[in-house]
Order: sequence, then C-alpha cells, then structure tokens
Amino acid sequence: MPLIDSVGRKSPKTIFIFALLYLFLILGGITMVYPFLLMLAGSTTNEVDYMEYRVIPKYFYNEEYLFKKYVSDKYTATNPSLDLFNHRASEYYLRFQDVKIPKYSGIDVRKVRSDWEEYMTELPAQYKAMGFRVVGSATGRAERLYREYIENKYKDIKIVNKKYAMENEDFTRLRSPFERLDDRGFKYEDSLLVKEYLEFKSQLPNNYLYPVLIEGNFQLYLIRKYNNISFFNEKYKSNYKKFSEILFSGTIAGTKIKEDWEYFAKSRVPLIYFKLDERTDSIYRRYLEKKYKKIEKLNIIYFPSNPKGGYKSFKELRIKDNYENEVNNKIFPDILEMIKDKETAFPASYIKIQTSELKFREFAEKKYKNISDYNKVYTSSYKTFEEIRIPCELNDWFDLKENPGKIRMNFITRNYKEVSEYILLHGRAVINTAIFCFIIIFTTLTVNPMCAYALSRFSLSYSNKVLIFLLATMAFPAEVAMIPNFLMLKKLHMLNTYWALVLPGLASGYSIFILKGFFDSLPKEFYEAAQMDGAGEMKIFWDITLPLAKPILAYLALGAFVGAYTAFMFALLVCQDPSMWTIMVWLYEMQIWASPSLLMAALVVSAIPTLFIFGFAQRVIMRGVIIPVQH
Amino acid sequence: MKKQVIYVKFFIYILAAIITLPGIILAENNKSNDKVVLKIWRIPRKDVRSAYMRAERQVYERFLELNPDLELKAAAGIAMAGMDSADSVSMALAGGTAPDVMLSYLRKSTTYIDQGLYLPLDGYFSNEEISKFHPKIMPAIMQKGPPDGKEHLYLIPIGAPLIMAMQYRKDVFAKAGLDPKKPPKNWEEFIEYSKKMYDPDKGIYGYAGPTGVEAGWHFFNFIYQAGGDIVAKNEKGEWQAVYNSKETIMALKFYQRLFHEEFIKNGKKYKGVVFRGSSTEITRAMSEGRIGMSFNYIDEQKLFPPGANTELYEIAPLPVGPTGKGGGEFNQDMLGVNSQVKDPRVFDAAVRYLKYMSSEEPKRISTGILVEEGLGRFLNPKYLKSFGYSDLLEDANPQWIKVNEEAFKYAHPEPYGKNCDMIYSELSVVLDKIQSNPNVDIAAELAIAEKHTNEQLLGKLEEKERKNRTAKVWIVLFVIAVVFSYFGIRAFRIFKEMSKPNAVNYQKTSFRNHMFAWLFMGIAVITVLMWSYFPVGSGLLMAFQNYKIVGNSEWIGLGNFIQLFWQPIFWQSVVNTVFYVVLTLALGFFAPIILALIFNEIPRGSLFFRMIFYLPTVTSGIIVLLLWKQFYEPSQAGLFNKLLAAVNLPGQMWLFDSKLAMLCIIIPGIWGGVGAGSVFYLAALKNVPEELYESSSIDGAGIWGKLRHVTYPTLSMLLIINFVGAFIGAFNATSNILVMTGGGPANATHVIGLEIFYNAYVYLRFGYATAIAWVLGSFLVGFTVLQLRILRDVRFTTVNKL
Repeated sequence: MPLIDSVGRKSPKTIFIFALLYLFLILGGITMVYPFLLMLAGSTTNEVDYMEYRVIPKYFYNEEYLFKKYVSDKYTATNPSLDLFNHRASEYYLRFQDVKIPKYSGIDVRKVRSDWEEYMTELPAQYKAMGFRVVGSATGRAERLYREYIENKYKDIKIVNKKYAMENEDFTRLRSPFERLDDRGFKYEDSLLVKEYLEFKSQLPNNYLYPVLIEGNFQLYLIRKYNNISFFNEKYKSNYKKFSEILFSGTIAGTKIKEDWEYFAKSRVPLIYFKLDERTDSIYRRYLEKKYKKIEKLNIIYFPSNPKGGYKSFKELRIKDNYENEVNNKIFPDILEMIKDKETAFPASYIKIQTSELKFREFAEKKYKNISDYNKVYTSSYKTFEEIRIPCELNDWFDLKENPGKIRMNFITRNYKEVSEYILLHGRAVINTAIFCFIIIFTTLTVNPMCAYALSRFSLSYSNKVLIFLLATMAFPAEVAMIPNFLMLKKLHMLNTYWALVLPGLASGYSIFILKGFFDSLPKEFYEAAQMDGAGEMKIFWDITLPLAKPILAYLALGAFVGAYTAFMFALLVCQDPSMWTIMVWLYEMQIWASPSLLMAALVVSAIPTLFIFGFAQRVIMRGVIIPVQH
Repeated sequence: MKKQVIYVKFFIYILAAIITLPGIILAENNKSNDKVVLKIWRIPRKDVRSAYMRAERQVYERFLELNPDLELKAAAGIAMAGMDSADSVSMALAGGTAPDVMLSYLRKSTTYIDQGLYLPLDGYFSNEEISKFHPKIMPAIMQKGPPDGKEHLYLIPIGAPLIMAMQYRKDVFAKAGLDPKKPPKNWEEFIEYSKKMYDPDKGIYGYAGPTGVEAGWHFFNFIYQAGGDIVAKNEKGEWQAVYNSKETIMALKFYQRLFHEEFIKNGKKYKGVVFRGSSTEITRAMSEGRIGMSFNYIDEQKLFPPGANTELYEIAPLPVGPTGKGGGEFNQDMLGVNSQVKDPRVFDAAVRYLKYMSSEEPKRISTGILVEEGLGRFLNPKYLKSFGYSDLLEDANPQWIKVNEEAFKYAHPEPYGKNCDMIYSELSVVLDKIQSNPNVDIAAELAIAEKHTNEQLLGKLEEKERKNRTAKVWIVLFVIAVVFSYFGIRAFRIFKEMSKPNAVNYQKTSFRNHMFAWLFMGIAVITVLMWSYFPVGSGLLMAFQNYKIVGNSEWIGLGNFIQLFWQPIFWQSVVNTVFYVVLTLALGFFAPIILALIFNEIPRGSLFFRMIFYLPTVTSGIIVLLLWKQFYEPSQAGLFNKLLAAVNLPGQMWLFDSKLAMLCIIIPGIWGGVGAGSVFYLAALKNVPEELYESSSIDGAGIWGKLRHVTYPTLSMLLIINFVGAFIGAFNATSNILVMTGGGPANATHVIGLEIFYNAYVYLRFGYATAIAWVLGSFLVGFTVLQLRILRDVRFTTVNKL
C-alpha cells in the first residue's frame, strides 16, 4: 500500500477508496473472464443455441433444451430442417428453440416403444430416411457411424476412393450419399456407394431413422397455399381446426379434397411411393411419342453411350409397377413429367400411393383391432384408425430419454472431434508450427546469447562498434525492410520453406544488447577461475554463463515461442502453400467457412499450447521480467 | 583445446541438423516421379455430380488419356476474406504458389504481361489455330511486351466467350402487373419497370445495383449503352482512359435517376428504386424473389445462366441507351504459361495443355455431357450442330438464341490496358458519391476521376503538371533526406558515446580470442547484414523503380513519389493511421499502468486478480481477433447487440460501421494485452523501496504527491520505452486490421500498413509500395532514434521480487 497511507487505513475515506478499487477489479475481471468463458461455452453449442451466449449452455442441465437440439440434429440433411420435424410434432413450431417436450403422462411407454420398434422394423427401406447427418459444418452421429462402417469394411481410403470413384483425403472426408426420399424426382444412383450405404442403413438402430411423411408434406403444401384453415374450410365446406388434422389418403377415391389431392399427388409425391398398373401403358407411349417424335431421338437421351442399342419402336416401352430400383436416370423424369403434364391429363384414378402414415395405420389396426385399445395405450382419443397420427415425436422423446447422458456428451464433444479430425487431416499445420517454434527457440537461445557473450567476454577493442552495427538497424522502420526481404526470399527460392520463416529474424540487435548488458554485469572472477581450471570458451559459455542467465534466457525463449506461435501476416505471406501453413494461417482460413461454434472449438484448441506454456511458465515470467533502469 | 573443438563441432552439427531438418521433411514430399508434373489452377473433383462439374472433369480426364506421360496437379494457395479471385491470383504469384498454367482475367491481362509473368507462345500456335479465337479477344492476347518489347502471343482463350445479359424473374414481373414476355428495351422502360416493381415495404425491388468496387464493374455496361467507351489506345499505342465523355455523363445521369428520382406510387412518395448490396447479397435476394432484374453473364455455349430455373427466370439483352445502341461487357477465360516455368519439359507440357484446352475437343466433350444430362435445350444450336446433336435442334428456344446473338453484337471487351483494373476503384468513387449525394456535380467528379485514372493508374500526366509535381516531390524528398540525415547524425553521436572503449587493456586480446569472438558473433552479424542492411539498401533503390518480379525493373525516377503524394487513398491512409495511433495509445497505453498501480495498492487478492487479468493473454495472436469478430456480429443476434438490447439501446453494425470500426479493432488488443502489460509495471513498482513512500508520507505528501515524486521517477524509463515502442508499433499495425476488416468499411480502417500490403502483394507494385514504406519510415525515424537514445541510457535488470 505504497500510495495510500497505511496509517489511516481504518478511516472511512480509505475504506471507500479500497472498495472502489476492488469494484473496479471485479468489473474488470468479469470483462476479462466473460469472453473467455463464452468461447469455451460456445465451442460446445450448435446452430440452435450458439446465439444464446450462455456461459453454461442450457442443455447441460435442461432436458427440454437437449430435446430441441436432439431433434434439430436428427431432422437434418445439410442443415437442420424444421419442416421435417414439424410434420411429426404436435404443435407447429417456428424455430427449433421453441420445441417443447411432447405430453406423455399416462402413456404405456413399454407398449409404445415396442410398437414403434416393430413398425419401424417392418417398414420398407425406401420409407426410412437416415437422421443425424451433417449439421452445418459438424458431423452428426449417424454420419459418423457410416464412416466407421465403411472404414471397418475397407480399412484403406484408397480402396474406397477407387471403388466409389471418389477423391477423399481420408475417412473423415467421406460423406454418405445424398438422400432426399421426399423429393419428387429423387432416385438412388445405381452405384456401389449407394448399395453399401443401404446395407449400412439397414443395420442401423431404429432411433437413427425416421419415416418419410408424405402426409406432412401435404399439410405443409396446404398451409402454404391456404395460409389460414378457414379459407380451406370455406372451399371444401369442411370444419377442420388445424391443418394437421387433414389426412392424405392413398387414392383419390378415399378423399374429399380431390382438387388439392390430385395436384399434390401429380406434382409433389415422389415416384418411388407410386404404384402404377398396365392401364398407364398406352398413355405412357403416347406421351413419349409426342415428346420425342422419333425413337432415335429418345435413344440419344436414354442411352447416350449407345443409342443404336436402344428401343426399336415406341411399342417396346412399358410402364413398371414401381420405380424403386430403376437404373436408367433418364426414364424417371419423363414419367414424372407425364403424370404432371396438363395436356396428357393423366387420370387421377390410376394413381395409388403408399405412405408411411398409411402403413402405420394399417399396422395399428392389425395389432389393436379396436381403436379404444389403441387409445388406452396412447392416451389418445381417435375415433377410427384412419385418424391416427404417427407417434414420431413421442418416440423421439423416448429415444432421447433412454440415453440423455450419451447424447449430451456427444453435443459437448462434437465440435472438438471435428476440429481434431481436421487438424489430423491437415496435420502439417501442427508439424509446421512445432518445427517453426522449435527452431526459433533454439536460435534464440544460441545465436543472440553467443554473440552477446562474445561481445562481453573477449575484450575486443571493436566490441562496441559491432554492437552498434547490430543495434543501428532499429533506426530503420521495419516496414522499409519487409518488402525487400520478401523479394529476396523469393529470389533465393526460399518462399514456402522453413528458411523463409526463420532466417530474417535469426538475430536481434535488441536481444543482443539486453544480453550483453546482463553478461557485463556478471562478475569477471567466474571466468578467470574457470580459465584457471583449464575450461575452454565453449565450456565457459555453456556451463557458467548460460546457467547464470537462465531466468532471462527462459523469458526470451518464452517470448520467442509466443512470437513464432502467433506469427500471422509474415507467415501468411512467405508460406502461402497449404503444406507450409502454420496454425494461425490455418485458423484464418478456417474462419472463412466454419460455423461459429466450430470456430470457437478451433480457437480453444489453438489456445491450448499458449495456455499450457503460460500456465507452467508463470515462475519464468515472474523471474525473467526485465525492466530498464537508468545507468 | 581439444575439448573446445569438440564442443564447437557439436554446436555446428546441431545447428546444421536443425536447419536442414525442414529440407529433409520437404524432400520427402517431392518423391521422384518419372511423369512430368504440370500445375494447373484447379482440378475438377470426381465426386461432384453436377452436370457442369462432370463436363469439366471429363475434359480433364480426356487430356490425361491423350497425354499419358503427364501428370496434372492443382496449385494451392491462400484465400483472403474479401478479396476477389483475380487478387488471389496476384497473391499466389507473389508468394510463389501460382500454377504453371495460369488463368487470366481480361482486366489483369496487360498488367501481368507487362510484368513479365507470362512466357511468349509465338511459334507454338499455327495461324489456323489462332484464327479460331474470338476476334474481340485478339488485341488482349497479342500484345507488345517482354522480353524484347515486340508483339507476342501470351494468352490463349479457352471455353466459350462470356457476355453480359439481363436476367429477370417472370414472377416478380407478373406480380407488378408487367408482362413477363416483354422485358424493358431501353433505359426509359428500364426505370419505368423498376418503379413498378419497387415495393420497399415487402423488400421487393426491380433493379439491384452492387456497391463498392463492384459498382464500377456493373456501371461499365451503362457507359457502353450510352455509346461511350472506357479506354482507348492513343496515337502512341498506349492505353488511355476516355470515359470523361458526354456519353458517360449521360450514363451517370441515368444512374443518378435510378438512385434518386422521386416518384409517387399508390399515393406514397418514393426516392430512387435501387436495391443496394454486394453481388452475393443481390444473388441471394434475387433467388428469394425480391429482385426483378439483374445483369448476369451468359455464354456462347450455354444460352441460359447455368442452374437457373426456367419457370422463374428469363433472359433478355441489356436495355439500349438513348442513342439506340446496346452494349454489354464481353469476357473470356484465358490461359498463359507462368514465366517462372524454367524446365523445358514443363513448358512443353504447358503448351500441350493450352493447345488441348483451346481446341474443339473440350467443347465437344462438354456439349456431349450437357446433352446427356438433359440440358440440350440450353445449348447454342451452333454447338449442337457441330458436335452431331442435330436431332435436338428443334427444342432450342428462339428467344434465347436471339438474345445471345444480340448481346454479342454489341459486346465490348472488359478494359484490359495496363493497370486497367484500377479503373474500377476510380469509377466507384464517383458512383459512391452519386449514391450518397443526389446533388453531386457529376461532370466535375468525372473529370477528377479520369484525371486520376490517367495520371496515376496509366502513368499519364500533363507535362506542366508533371514539372510542377516533380519540383514539389524534390522538396519533400529533400526534407525527408534532411530528416534522415539529421537523425542519422544524432544516432551516430549516440553511438559514439556508447562506443567509448571501456578501461580494459586490449593488448591482451589474443588472436585466439578474436577467432572465437567471430565464431560466436558470425551468424548474428551475417544475419543482420543480410536481412537488415541489405534490404534497406535495395529498398532505397526500389523506391525509384517500377519493380518487376520477373525481368528487369525500370528506373522511373521520382515516378512513384509523384503518384503517391497525389493519391487520395494514401492521404486517407495517413489520416486513418494517425487516428489509429491516437486511439490505441489513449485507450491502451494507460490501462496496464493503472492496473499495476492498483495491484500494487490492494492489501489482499493481488495474485488472484493478476491471474484473472492475465487469462486473456493465452488467447494470443489472431485467436483474440477471431473471437471478438464473432462477438461483433452485426445482426440483432450478435452478442454485443444483445447486451445493448438488454439495456434498451439500439443495435450497432460494429465492424461494418465506419465510425465504430476502428474502435472495434483496438479493443480486443487491449483486452488481450492489459494483463501481460501490467506485469512489467508491477515489477518496476515492486522495485521501489517502501521507505521512499514512507518518508514522503512523513513529509506530508498525499496520493498525488507520491505518484509524482516517488512513483513517476521510478517508472519513467519504462514508461518512455514502452510509449515509444507502442507508438512505433501502432504506426506499423497491419495484420490485426487485415484480419478484422481488411481496411473497410469504405476504407475507414485503411491504414498505411494495409496500403503497403495491398500495393505490394496484391497489386504487385513493389516499387510503389516501398516508396510508401519510406515515407512511413520518415514519419518514424525520429522515434526510432529516440528509442536508441533511451537504450543508451539504460540497463536492463531482472526483478526477483514479484
């Protein structure tokens, strides 16, 4: 307490001053720690909760929040899709943040679960989509399983690349094939990649999959078209309360809302859920003949590699009853076009559609026979089996409930996993930085001290002149030398090598000056005694001078490490080749594409070396701090 | 003696090992391969299934099939946020990561040819091959240039030529009651249509105008439509800006109307019809159906913009100007051979690649694949016919064919004279002013812009003006020289004092000692000589040169300085730098001092708080910057905007606000550095004996008295050293600003360091950049010498009491 008198410490004025000081420190401390904690917390979030900026993310302790994240993670292709979830939710949500836990009191959980298992297992593959894919820039759980599956199968990415005609650098870059089962024109490619992906999917546990809901899409279409349920009711003279009550039947005969059903079936429902019969053959041929006129032209499109080997006449063309396994991807669009085309006027009565919802209703009816039995288990109040809504949301919640810890842990670690994989893949950045730091520390501990030692030790008449020679460069602003330095490195073909990083900063007049001053202050007797014992110069330098200078050298080495580790602009300029990037350059590149939460994880990971060093080198810093004192 | 030798050897071995280690690791990467490796810009990926990528991939694979002795490799480089692809090419060129076969853009072509970056290709291409190139591209690829100043062929056009056309959304047209089949034909209709579509409450606009440098690129089309031109060759065969014309004024007046014309619609009064944004924002808004019309490239092969939905979009020629002339920008991708290619085998491979890429084969392959993918109806019948798909001709849309032909009829190649890319930024200044001020004097602004363009960018200056400026530059350089020599003498005096020999008997210095001394000092002395003295010397010469990274640089006397001092952006960067320095010192310099004083004062918890304040230091370097950049998110969801909203304050744009940006750049540095900085002051404070305070207490000194008479004298040396250091550091600040804003918004954070960075590594004007560096140096030399003087008077010591 040098400034404030220790005598009057108890006086109210002094107490007030101290209170102010502590308040200042506490506020300042919060400013210091808060962004730091946000960085840590941010690295465990995803798109749903990143923008909340909580020091402790809510999903750590709140299961409802975990559920929001869980469903956003599950219903995703390349980005979380709220529509996908809304189809199965009991409410219509506008954001994932609004998602609530479904009501489940009184439900016979065991029965519901076993029903679900049974239903999902029975459901044919093309009705089941894989959830937990890639969210933003972080890999989901199912996607990760897929990778492991393929890796276990082939072990070597080169074999996979060859078989799949891909160019993945390693397994972490492998992506499962595109799958949009509710897309009208979607069709699996005919390839080994898809074949093995489907094999993988077939052995996935049911909680990784979700049924594709055509009815949900139908309701969404109606919402977008009518906006308000009353407009819909007006048109069809019906009295629905919500759009989610409107059901989608398999045939036009089974529905009252014929106009919208026909439009939706013809232009939105994927062909893979259609059942077409031979009645359509003649329409099909007529349509193709009108479109292509000559069979040769059709053959160019359908069989580009071998048009001659195609159809001889339009009569050969026939419609299939389903197109799940159609190989030729040119045939597909034509059939879709034919069904949709206004001039063709495809009869709606020919269309038969099978959906996951219809299949669930069939399943429930077969199992319970009586709707009241079903209602008892599900605590619902349906009047017929036709009204049942597929209990996806409920089962999602139970899926989560069964293993919340593991799912939470997955969210916490996922960004770090992604970052570490990225680091391993681009491992050169770590190696480069390590080598760079190592060389810099080594040269800092040798080049400058050796020079300073020589200036101090060997009583040279010109030692001060040499020192001035070394120090005088400080008079020229660094900017002036930077461009010529860069061009010289270029001329010497040293760009994109470690030389470029190290050479220009090998010696520092300033460090030499400081060290010389320090060595000068060492008692000369040490040297003389050592010389008497017959020690050589190297030995004196190594065994006597350096140990005495340990604190200051340690401090300089620390500075050199931090300088090298955080070097950015120079490192970026002289080493633009990605194989020579340092971690900082790599981070800069990463921020261009990474999602904020992933970037936070990368920042935390890159802060680890400095955290480590500063943590362990506290004593070094405290002992090695050098301050200038007037002569 | 023997032992010493062993030690020295040991040392040399280690040093050699350390220095060669990287070489060994690198060598591992370059495993020998008997195939000749040719580096090209990028290799199309095999697993991207889009039609265009597949076509590109097929073209690539076919080349390898035809040339089994070659291997193609992708060049890799750095991507800088906010730089366009042409700028990335420049950086790669400077950084030595550019490929052997380089893609060129029209606006950069002459600049690069002039810089000697391409090898002449005459003799490798037959007249017949050359005659197939588009005639409009010929003057750009066949130019006078290095190595002998004669006319050579440098670049080879590849792919189909591109042309600007208007792309519009039929649904937006229909909603506004316009006939989607009748796009606007002329300027009057264009503005009329824009007004009809304009509905700012719903966020719907008829026309979108890009901002910033992109505005210039966009505006060229209007000049062409008015019947004007941007550049032309003068009688000496040099490129000269000619856009200060009545045609351009006509175009600018039209541009002004687009932004400011008042009109009444549905009883509401509006001003201007333009949606403003970057080209990516415009693309997004258009895909959301919020913009009716925009300008976009189509090409000779693909009649319709790739990937666009034909149900929503339609294309039309650009509107014609009042003279009835149409006009749009013409462009084409070109390839040249990097002049850094020395190996004749690689050169041969490059020529083979160019021949292949410019031949019919790639066009045939891509047409085939696009037809196969069912995109035949988007293709030009010319292509379909010549590659044997005549069966598909009847599907062609006559409207598209007409648009294509029409557009090419009025095509103007993008300006490609030397440094022509600079015209964009000059013209953008005028456009920026028109956008923000409805009453700007167009003719005057345009005259200034053209003068700037000609004198500074194309090296044109009137004789009288040149003489006048030369005189002024002489004076300035004289002042700089005086400043440098004055401080040089000062420095010399300081050193003279320092070099007074100590009272030691030098006779004893044996030869052995000299030898050892030089052995020990050798590396340091050589390093400083080579990497500090030599660059300063060569930098001095470079400032008077038009430095070229390839070939001989020419002496241009005071040319660089004549440009520099009359360049508004330079002066703006000076002002910004001063602002940055003042702000940094005002906010950042005192914070650690105050903190250290408090740490020294409080009776308890000092260590705890020190650790807390030290914490941010571990997130050093750009980690701090990237972290704060996230917090500065300008939307309402950003951290700071949420904090502001919590206390009912309006959200800010932070880094995107030209008034706040500088402050936003500085704060993270203070956050990350205050704790570490306070350690030094605390160490110095601890060095003060308590008795001094006590005795002054007894003398009746209060807090201020003690601060002045006890604390200040002990801290003064450290304060001065740190202040001078921080001052010089702030003046040189570049990398943190580069990471945070890159100089934006609207050059508000463009400091001298960035001006040097961009000129050197992005525009490849190394001589000019060095001249700026020298001017910066003259601002600072006083301080660096002061720094030396202080060093003379101090001794550094460690503090063990902390």
